[in-house]
Amino acid sequence: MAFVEFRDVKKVYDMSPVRIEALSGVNFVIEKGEICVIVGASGAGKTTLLNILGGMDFLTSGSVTLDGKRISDYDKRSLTEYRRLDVGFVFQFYNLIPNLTAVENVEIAARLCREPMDSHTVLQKVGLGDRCDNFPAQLSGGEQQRVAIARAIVKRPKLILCDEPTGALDYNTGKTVLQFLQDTAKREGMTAVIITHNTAITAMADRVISLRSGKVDRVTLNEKPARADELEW
Amino acid sequence: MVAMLKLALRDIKAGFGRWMSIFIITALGMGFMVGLSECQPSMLRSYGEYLEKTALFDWRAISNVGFDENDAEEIASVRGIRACEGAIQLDALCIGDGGSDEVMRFHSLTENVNRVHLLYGRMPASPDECLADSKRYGEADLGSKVRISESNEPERLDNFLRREYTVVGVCESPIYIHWERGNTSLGSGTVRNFIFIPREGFKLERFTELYIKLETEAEIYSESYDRILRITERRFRDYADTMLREKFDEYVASGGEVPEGVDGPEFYLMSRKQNLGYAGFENDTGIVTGVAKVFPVFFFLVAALVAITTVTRLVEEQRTELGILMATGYSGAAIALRFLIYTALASLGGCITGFIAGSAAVPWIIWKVYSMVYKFGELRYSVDWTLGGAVTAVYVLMSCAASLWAVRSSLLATPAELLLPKPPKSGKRVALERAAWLWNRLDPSKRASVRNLFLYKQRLFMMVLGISGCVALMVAGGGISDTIRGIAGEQFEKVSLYQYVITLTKPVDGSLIAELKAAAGGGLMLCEPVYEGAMEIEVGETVKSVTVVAAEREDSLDGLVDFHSGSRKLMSPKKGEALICAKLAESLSISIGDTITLFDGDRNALTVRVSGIFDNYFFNYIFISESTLKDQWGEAPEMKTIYARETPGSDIHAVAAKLLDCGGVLTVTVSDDVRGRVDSMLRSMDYIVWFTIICSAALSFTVLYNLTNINILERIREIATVKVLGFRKNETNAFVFAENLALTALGTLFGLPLGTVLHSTVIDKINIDLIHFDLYIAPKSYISAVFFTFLFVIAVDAFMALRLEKIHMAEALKSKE
Repeated sequence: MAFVEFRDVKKVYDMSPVRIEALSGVNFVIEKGEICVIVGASGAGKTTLLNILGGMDFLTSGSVTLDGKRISDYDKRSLTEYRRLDVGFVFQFYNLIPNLTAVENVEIAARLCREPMDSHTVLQKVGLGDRCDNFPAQLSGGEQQRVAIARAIVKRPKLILCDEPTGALDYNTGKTVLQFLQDTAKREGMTAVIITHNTAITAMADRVISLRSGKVDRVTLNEKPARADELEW
Repeated sequence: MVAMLKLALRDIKAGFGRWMSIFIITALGMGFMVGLSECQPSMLRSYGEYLEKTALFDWRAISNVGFDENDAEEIASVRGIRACEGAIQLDALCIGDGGSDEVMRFHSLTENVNRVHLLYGRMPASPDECLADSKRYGEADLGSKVRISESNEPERLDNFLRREYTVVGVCESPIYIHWERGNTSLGSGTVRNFIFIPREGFKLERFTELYIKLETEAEIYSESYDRILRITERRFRDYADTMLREKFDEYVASGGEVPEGVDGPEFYLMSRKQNLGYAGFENDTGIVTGVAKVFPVFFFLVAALVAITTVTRLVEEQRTELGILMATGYSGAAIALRFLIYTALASLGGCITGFIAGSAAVPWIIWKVYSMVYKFGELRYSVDWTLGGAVTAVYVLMSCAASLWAVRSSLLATPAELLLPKPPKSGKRVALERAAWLWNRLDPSKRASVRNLFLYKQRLFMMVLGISGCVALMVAGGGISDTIRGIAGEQFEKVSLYQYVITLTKPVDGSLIAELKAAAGGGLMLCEPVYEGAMEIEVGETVKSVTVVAAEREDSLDGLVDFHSGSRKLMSPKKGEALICAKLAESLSISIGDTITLFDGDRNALTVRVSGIFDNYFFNYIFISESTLKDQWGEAPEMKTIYARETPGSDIHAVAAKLLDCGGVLTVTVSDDVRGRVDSMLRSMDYIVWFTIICSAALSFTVLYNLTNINILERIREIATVKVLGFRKNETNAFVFAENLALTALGTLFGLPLGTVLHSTVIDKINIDLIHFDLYIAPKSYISAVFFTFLFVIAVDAFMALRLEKIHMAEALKSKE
């Protein structure tokens, strides 16, 4: 059985009198340890898919399993535990807590789970060992996103979920961040899902899932993924 | 202009709660300020109109030889006098509930002055009918009878046409607006109730007094009224003296019989200022005016701060839109107008609502509270439009200034700057972090809370102000109740140790004491005769009536009355000395060593030196030694009163009944009963406490709602993020509300001492005659102030937790506005 499996996932937003079908029967799998990039244009259903995979929203029909557990059956409380223990998030706008230092931002996530990594060590791994005590406002965008990555992996999650991780960064910084993400995922053996509209990023993925109008348009497996810092867009 | 009005209305609709918080805080501030300051004018207006309607006398004349119809007519013809009417006032012992005697004050009904205000029933039509005191009688008592006791002296009984008068009506009288009915030489010394009967109900031929109404429109308590009193007094006194002297001489010449002890006519004039009700009402109603000065400043500050924070937040939310408007060519003034309209509508609406509600509700509540002591007629509202207008102007201007202040930096920025998102506030370290051992124990979510406290200074300041105000109001409110409630206990447990005050029909003799002790069957531990007399003390312009008590020996009162000042015991008065109660010393500014002069009802003077000031809470007492009276008046005073203390464990009321049965005993007053009555009267003050608790709740709810709401809106992204990270419900709540609790704790810390100060300020302004207050706030009041404040905070937090619950995690994914 695949590590992540979407089967006939539908999500309908009922805003009477209008019904909007954001996902209309999505099927795909992701294997353990893969870096998977989900691409699609605006309105293709990326955000809805992210919400469902991230345990932030309920689906209308179908099923989602992660590591053998049907998260689509979870209630609100179980979803909280799922986000808490199994998923690490990286946001487009980093979403660090402004009044906590870098290490505290990592620490706040580490406290949520049972066997976290050491916050300082993780920051060292993302190359910010000397910026531990800086507040987010004192860090560059790239550095902030690396803190966010550290915050995601410190929990040793089953899944790292990234929403447009380079969206707010310049070209070079974006590439560096992606390289960190790639290295970290591979080194820690974590499964990472990157959701983006930037097709150039697909080259670094083991698996690419293209979405179009709420359906999976195509799934591509890369035998030899490129290094993130070699990407060009 | 229209576009800005539309935008302002949209802003109101979009965040109705926070717009309402400006509205409500303004309404509260306005309501309390106007309401409280209208209280005294409303009550004085009610009193003024009541006196106008009932025609309370301006002068009351009494004479040892009485008056007749001609005297009244002659005086009535004097210029400046509207009416003069003869009347009779006579006290008598009547048979009260349970058969013991009580003193009733009988008045003859008058037409042109002191008209009664009939509440139930009808006016008397025949000489055996009467109107009874509404303080005690109600509609159900119509048809009952007032019985004059046979224990009155025969001469007194002869003055009444009947032994029984049927109650045909229940009334109020302008002479008796105060709860107290006055003092008398009879019985317990206290008049229980008044009774009005027709002139024909008395057998007396001559009037005992004349009531005079002056030709004046001057307002009560006004300076011009006082001047008229001063002018008329001399003119009137001269006239009356001459006239009376002539009449008396005529009377004697025509072989009239002169009463024993009368050498010539004596004539006393008393103005309405000597009426207990008139004398105290202005001062006592001044309490609320004092309180009115403390409250509003506070609400005003909070209202300004609420306006500033709200508009600041609004401007931040509309940053991009402001940029677009500016880029489109709207001027700064036009944009500012939007926010001016927003706050002006809130403060104007709040002012109007507060003005109407405050003017209607507050005087009514205070009137009800006061009616426990001063009861008459109906409340007439005195609405202060000028104050309302002025306060409205100030509030509206202030809120507009606040919104301009909030919008100023945005207006100075270029449109391009506004179109960029505002950089988030940078995190800041706090001093507490130096305490590493403590800091390292805090988890990061708590650390964020601690830093947030100091990062948002405006919020810190407002919250501490709001919460400390809330705590202070409750401490002061509770303290007022404690102070008032405590005095009954102090009086009857620590000062007046006697249980019984026994009055006698004739001066005490040795055998009577033994007889009483035997009748009580061991129920009396101590039993001492004293002289108790009502006298007046005059210092400068002020006259106060006091009860003067003289005991036989210096140690007579040991165990019956405890003279102390704080923890210091005082010596009993020796010859020529007097111990005066604290209230008298305070209100007449008398100090130890001063010489004071006392006058009895016949204007006999008694001069004594103050040797001590003792703690006493009810009524004005002066204790002297019997030898002083012997020395100055040449004879031993008549000891017609006995103070007695019960043996612990005895049945107090059974003993009282046995004592009453003894020959020569007129009345027995039980201290426990008095204490019960006093307690129930003072309990009315609890309304004031509830009033302050409600004010505090309203204040803290508004401030907390406003601040928490803004706090949540500002941190919506942060909150969504921690939810995505997997914070459980209680963790998310703690992440946001820990600050509220910390700020509440800080506010409480400031609020407790602030409340103590507020309490003493308010008590200082509450100056009720006959009652002395010792500042006291029970620990319970401090505790409940803190408890209620935290309860309010938790209630607001619980309400706001629902809002947190609704924040969707997708907020974390959104781009910055």
